[in-house]
Amino acid sequence: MATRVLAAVLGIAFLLVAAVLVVDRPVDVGQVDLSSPTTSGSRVAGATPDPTAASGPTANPDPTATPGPTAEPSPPRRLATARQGPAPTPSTAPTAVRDVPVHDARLADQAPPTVHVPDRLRLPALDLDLPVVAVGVDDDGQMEVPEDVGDAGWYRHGPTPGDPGNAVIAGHVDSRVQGLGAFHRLVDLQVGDRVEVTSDDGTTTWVVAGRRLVDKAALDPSALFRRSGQPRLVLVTCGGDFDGSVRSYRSNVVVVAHPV
Amino acid sequence: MRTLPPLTTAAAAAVILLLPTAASAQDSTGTVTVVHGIPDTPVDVYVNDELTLDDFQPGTVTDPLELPTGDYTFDLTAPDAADNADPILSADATLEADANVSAVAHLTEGGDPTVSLFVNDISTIDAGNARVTVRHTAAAPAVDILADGDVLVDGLANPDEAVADVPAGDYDLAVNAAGTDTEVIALPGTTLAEGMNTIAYAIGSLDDGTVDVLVQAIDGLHGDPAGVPAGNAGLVDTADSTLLAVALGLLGLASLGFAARRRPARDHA
Repeated sequence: MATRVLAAVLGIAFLLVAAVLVVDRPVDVGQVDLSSPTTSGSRVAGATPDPTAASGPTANPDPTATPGPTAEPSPPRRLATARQGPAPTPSTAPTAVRDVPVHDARLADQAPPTVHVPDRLRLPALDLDLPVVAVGVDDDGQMEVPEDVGDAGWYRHGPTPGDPGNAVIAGHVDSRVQGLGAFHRLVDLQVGDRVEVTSDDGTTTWVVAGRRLVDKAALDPSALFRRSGQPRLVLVTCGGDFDGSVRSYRSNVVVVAHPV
Repeated sequence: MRTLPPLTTAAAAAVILLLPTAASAQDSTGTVTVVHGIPDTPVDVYVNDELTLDDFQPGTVTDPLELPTGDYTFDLTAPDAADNADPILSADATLEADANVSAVAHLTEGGDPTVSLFVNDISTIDAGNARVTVRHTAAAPAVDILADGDVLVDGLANPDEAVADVPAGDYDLAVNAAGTDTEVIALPGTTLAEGMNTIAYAIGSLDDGTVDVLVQAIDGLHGDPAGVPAGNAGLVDTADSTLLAVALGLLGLASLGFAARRRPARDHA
């Protein structure tokens, strides 16, 4: 009798735990539109000055920070045939046919752009308040992610939060040495949760629009890292199935937030 | 770091590309940027007999001009000239579809005014890198260009150029007389911005003490990181939890089955 009751209780308990495990998967929620089209009020790619000039205090230096082998000087790429003498059909109009913008090009007069590097990421819904460091590109051509699993990394070559395009902030879900990372809770963010990013010129506030588990093979880097169009805050970590043979997750957890 | 293939090849290809294509490219355009690198000589610039740049000042660069492909004649006149009947300089060029070229008024090594056209490299730059293009358009002998003390370009002579992709960042650049330690120009803390082709022109005349550096920037050439590797421990592996869920589910069913199967046995006892 006791054995039978125990078996029944255990059976129900096992089934409940199994159900919880199934339900608690990081399911996709809300709206995730990484490649938001360029719309009114946005600038085209190239209009934003480069942010490299003001990397954060703990920014990882580029791994190959010295110029490589000597570039060979080249023969001229001259495509014009210089000639002297009068042109065949002189014009009589001394006013310019079009207004061509001209700017001073002396190197000494070029002012480096000011970049406000984010330094703090707050996720009140998860009770998280993380330091943000500026990161670049690793040796494999992938985005650097801060070594410390308690830090978040802002992609310093892309937009700052609030500028046109996706401001991308990534953090480790886990590490073999340090254990779980702060960003493992990203899967708990819900649509409507607020996100705050602070830099030396103030705080931008965002609201979560959606969360997706994106297969890494299907990830479109030009969409994730776009530098034009609507300002978005994009939080990224890893998730989904783990491939032990290459010690890597097969997917990224991507959270997209819109400005408030 | 990446350097372009030998530019003799590139130049030859560019010339071929510039040959007859106008018939098939009626509605296509190319991009032209005009650079003024002749000191103390404001000019008017006529493009195909139309005054396009009025009183164009030394040391300035135009915004990129999108022009239909085809043949062009550039005439440079004195700024007060009534027309382009008596230009100081003229140059002919054919603009190829989608080409990005810079037309540069500058001095030859011997100090004579001339116009050179360069094709700008607008291919995608690897994420995290900057492209630097250096053009010797000054009345000066060949130079070496150093970045943070290392030789970046060796023996660059007027009117040659060199192109290199380097990690984006700030560099202490220096221009030395070729093969010597004699510094011609020092450019400490020069920012080479990610995803941008920073094109530097050495202009002016060494003898006249008018050597200067002009900069043209072409932005938006950036590549993107290939991915975001943000975990290597498998602590939140959902494959694990799937297996666990299946295992627990089977165990639960088996337990219930065991409990149910014992009932008839006990009733008979």
